[in-house]
Amino acid sequence: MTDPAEFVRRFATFWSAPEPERLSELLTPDVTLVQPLAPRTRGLAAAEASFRGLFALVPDLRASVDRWGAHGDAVFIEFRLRGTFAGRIREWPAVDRFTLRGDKASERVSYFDATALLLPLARRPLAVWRWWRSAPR
Amino acid sequence: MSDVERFLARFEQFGREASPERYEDLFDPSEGTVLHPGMTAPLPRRQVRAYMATYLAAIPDFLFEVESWAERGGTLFVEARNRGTVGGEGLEWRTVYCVTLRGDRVLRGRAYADRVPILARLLPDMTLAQAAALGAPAPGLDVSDGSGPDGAP
Repeated sequence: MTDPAEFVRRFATFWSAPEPERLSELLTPDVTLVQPLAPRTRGLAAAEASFRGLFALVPDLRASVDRWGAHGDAVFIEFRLRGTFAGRIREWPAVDRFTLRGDKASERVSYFDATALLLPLARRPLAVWRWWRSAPR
Repeated sequence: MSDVERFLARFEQFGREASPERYEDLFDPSEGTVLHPGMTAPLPRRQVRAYMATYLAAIPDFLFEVESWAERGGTLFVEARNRGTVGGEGLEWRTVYCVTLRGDRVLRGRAYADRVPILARLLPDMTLAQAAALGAPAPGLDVSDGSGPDGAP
């Protein structure tokens, strides 16, 4: 059983300078990602493609960890995402719930309210379309 | 039984039989607050009963089960699977509650969930702009107007 604090540390390190190719440091090859606004993905390649699309939409997206907790194989991380899109710097809070297998996550479910992001996203329809299409189904 | 266990038992009971009174009873009587998605400021305990009455008027058969939880450093995370009839159809969605307890009551609670699927069912004719307005973010979403060095589109 991995130390959840170590997983959270790697999560924070990833989000300080995120690169899709480094997702393998956090996620298992068969990982499932579930999140608002984007289709569910399965597999590391699909996760990397989805994140590439996300970073094409919000190149300066970063996150900082506020609080976390772990119980059994579940790790919850409360954090804030911050990045520029549609001409403004935007910050919104989220919680990711990970299911760990060994020292990596085999599932990640992201929780945040996407309602307030709808209008800014609608102002960039082409970019959003590319992002949406970037995630294999 | 610990404070966390007592809170979880009461919270699960609320999930099985949701009511404004049970919801209010989750909170610290003097200083309990909660922030749900779309709220611009935390709601004090004296207003949570009315909030839940409105919520249950929209989703009368609302119920949930706790799927997982974790506690560390005074913060409790609870992941719930919700069910209810929304806009005439059954819907299932999930929420994570991030809670600071005082004893076995909520001192500060925050709910994390995506309202887009629920709003799409409740208000199918709503425009994107109206939906975005309902999504009035917690303070800090719009950090700048983009005129500074970090604000390039």
